Amino acid sequence: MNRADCIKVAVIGGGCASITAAFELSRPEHQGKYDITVYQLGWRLGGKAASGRGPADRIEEHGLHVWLGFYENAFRLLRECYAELGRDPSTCPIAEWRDAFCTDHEIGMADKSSRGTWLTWTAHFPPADGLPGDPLTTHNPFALGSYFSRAAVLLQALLFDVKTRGGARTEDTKPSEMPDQSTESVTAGIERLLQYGSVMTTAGLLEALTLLQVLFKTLPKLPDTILTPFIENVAEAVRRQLENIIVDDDEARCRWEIIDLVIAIFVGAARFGLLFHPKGLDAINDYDCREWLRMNGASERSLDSAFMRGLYDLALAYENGDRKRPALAAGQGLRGSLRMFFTYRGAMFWKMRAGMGDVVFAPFYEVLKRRGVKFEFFHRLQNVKLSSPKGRASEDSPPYVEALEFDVQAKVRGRGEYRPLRNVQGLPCWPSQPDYRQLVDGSRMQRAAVDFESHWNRRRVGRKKLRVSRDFDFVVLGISVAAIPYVCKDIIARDPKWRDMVTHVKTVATQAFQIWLYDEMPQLGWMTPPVTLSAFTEPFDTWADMRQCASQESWLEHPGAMAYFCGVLADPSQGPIPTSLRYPTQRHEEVRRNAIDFLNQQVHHLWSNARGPKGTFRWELLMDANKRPGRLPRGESDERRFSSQYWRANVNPTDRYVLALPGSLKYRISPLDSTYDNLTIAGDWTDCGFNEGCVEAAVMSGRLAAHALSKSPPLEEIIGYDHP
Amino acid sequence: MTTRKRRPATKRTAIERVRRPSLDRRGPIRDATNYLRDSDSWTEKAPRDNPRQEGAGEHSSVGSFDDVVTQGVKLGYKVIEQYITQGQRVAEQISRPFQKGVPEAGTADVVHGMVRLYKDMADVWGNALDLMVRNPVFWSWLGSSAQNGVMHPQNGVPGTLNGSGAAFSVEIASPRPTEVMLNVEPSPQPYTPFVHALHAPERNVPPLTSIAFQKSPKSNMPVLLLKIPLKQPSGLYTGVVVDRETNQPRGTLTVRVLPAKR
Repeated sequence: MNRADCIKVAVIGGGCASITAAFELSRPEHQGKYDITVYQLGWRLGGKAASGRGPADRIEEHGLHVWLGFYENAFRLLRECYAELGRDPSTCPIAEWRDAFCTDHEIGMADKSSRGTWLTWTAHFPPADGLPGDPLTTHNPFALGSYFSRAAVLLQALLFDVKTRGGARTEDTKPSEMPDQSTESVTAGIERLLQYGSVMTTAGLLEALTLLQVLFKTLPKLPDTILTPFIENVAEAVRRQLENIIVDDDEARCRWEIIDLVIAIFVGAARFGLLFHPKGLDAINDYDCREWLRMNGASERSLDSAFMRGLYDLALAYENGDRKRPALAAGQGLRGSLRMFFTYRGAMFWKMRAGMGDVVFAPFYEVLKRRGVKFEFFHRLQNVKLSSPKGRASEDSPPYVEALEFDVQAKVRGRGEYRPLRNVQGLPCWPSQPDYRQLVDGSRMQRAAVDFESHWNRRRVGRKKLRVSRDFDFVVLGISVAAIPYVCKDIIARDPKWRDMVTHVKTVATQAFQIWLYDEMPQLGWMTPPVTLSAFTEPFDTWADMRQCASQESWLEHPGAMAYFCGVLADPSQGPIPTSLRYPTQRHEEVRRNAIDFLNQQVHHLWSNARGPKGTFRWELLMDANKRPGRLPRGESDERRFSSQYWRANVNPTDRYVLALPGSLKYRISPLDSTYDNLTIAGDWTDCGFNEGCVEAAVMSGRLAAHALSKSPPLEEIIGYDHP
Repeated sequence: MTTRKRRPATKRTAIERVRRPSLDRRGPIRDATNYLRDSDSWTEKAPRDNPRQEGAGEHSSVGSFDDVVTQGVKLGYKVIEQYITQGQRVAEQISRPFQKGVPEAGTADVVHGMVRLYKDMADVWGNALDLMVRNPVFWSWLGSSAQNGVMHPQNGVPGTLNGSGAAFSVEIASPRPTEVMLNVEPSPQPYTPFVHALHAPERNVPPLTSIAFQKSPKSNMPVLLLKIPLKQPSGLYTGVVVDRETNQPRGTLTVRVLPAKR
């Protein structure tokens, strides 16, 4: 297609949603119809999921990123990307998408035991059929029948595969056989269960749960009016049994708490008519998840369980980063849980073998470049300028984006193109710092340690203004919602929907640190397989054992263990984000202090051997990438050693994580919204069908944005968009 | 489709701008017609894309309306019978402690459970009735049934069950004195009454099963036929009057079999 006839698309931002939109619009099927340019702040793509390579080529992430086994859209696109990339496995260590991930079947939770000590436990989630991103040709996973047939597997796993550290596996009881699924059999089962006392035994309880699974699967054949009272009766009987058992046995307590919560979900789904509600699970989004479960009979003990806290932790669901204000919209929380537990394929968790930038954004960058997509790095969006009413065909004509105004942060030498990737052991990677050699005045910038990604550093070397029709036709606005107020003043001033969105769709700052250790995990005292663990103590409630990444780094001595920790970071108690240049530095130092205190005071609950004789962390365990191998003598080690590790305070508006607060989701705007006839939005903060911050939501949103501009992909191909 | 009208760049106006295509929809479909389907193929069209067959009910994949009603009410009756059985057990347990002086452990729980279960059942039947009368398929079915000889609502005419009350004949074949109390809720729609077995509170007492409603060939009035077996123990027997075709509850029938006069 002639360049002049192409439709020019300006994609703002290089995160998951933006890159997805660019990938969709540049598909060969479009035959070059769209002339796409991605405008990116700083030197790398990735947004909140950007990563870099630091000293010893160590991977430095914004935070902990784990892909879940239900990320169907994300995996599908990434698999297509790798297939199109066609890397040579003899020269590139991550040539195929399967090289990029390892599976993790263990989910871990930390909880206070009845004796007041921390107890950690893990549950094994068995591999599920297929792989994420496989064509869904055999069964619709989003039917309730599928969910609850998987529910039985979950409950059986929890009942029989949960084990506490140092403890034996629970009784070697086999789950009851799946009963005949005919209505007659279900009826007979209900009859038996209504006999008082039949669910008071373990066998009876198992039978009840198995029958519930069948009941839900055959739900359409049974009136809801029969189902609801039955579920409530069974649930009450189950709970009476649970409350009698959970006095002293920590292991049984964990199991029963989860069962109690699942039962509450069943009861609530029936009571609130979710099974037939036209809004699906969105019907309960004004409730907080815990509040809703409490209404449906969940015990306080269960609501404060590790499992429950873990769900909030994984969603970073703490308003303003305040641990005392957990908040998660019930419908979305339930949708996320159902998807997480019941629709995963292959494994529940998929951990990347290198940085997310390396595994995801570098391949996409290379493929998009081949397709002719242009990238303009070092472009900070300053303003989205709307058309004035005078400039429109009539005053009733829809408004549109007239201009995009950027600060240019740096210029490339020789007016050339910035080449952002560098090779690490055969793998194209993003560096943690820009390649100053390519930049005009790069040496001076390097000495000044210019932070191109900082919201507070407004250094620029020029300005650029793109005009509609001349420079762009369509805009994909793919920056974080927390940055919208700074760049969309025109829109917010005239549009109450946008004002509501930026008011109610809130974000949270996060903190993260990574450490590299000489000792392996068993030496540190963690004996179970690599795990992703949540519900641990603040401020770093989530930990992932990332030992699988070690081989991709370039240490002179191979690290024994690698650990990533993350959690929310409380906002200042009053007012908006401070404007002081010192603010990000102060928060960075705060995170350093938090990490040191955490290692000194808390981590021994996970790694019992990481505590020294003085009761504090053994700092000599940490590896320093800038020094020769070798441990510090015990007498010379102290917490200053931590400065050699990596930590972040994600306080930039573009780095903040979007929340799914109760009552807030209705204020999200869809990428399909056409108020502005040449603008669409993209990001996990949009109304994208899965309204919770994650890679999958961002990818869905990016696909929706592409659909908004091109009607492709069809909405039916956006997996899980039409979902209860 | 997205379109562009080309003119010399220097003379472009707002009208020339490329505009987003118009979309078929702007949000997800979350209702049950979408996700209750249990498709064999992801790529198959959702039910929303398929024209519904007239009168196919709310969810075409659910099965016929009759199946739903039949299975649901059948289940409901099993539940009722279960409750009755439990009630008999409760009665036994209540009577026993008084004889022995010490209540049996768990009796209070059972009593409370029974109260709850009966409350639940009231909801079940209320909801079932609501579900039934809101369904257009039911009404169309009812209309066709009425033409096939089921009693019609004819206000004030003896021999009908309708909103103004009902007129019945009762024919009892009993070796002992028997009292019959028939309490039928007014109904604006026609139906054929039917009674399942009548149960006594005592668990070991056999139910009354020989009960039937028939139309009198002479007067066309409904007649309740009740036969009390010779060895039927004295006592109170109760049961539910339902619509024969739909099993919707319509009222209660209580029969008191008195001891033989000496």
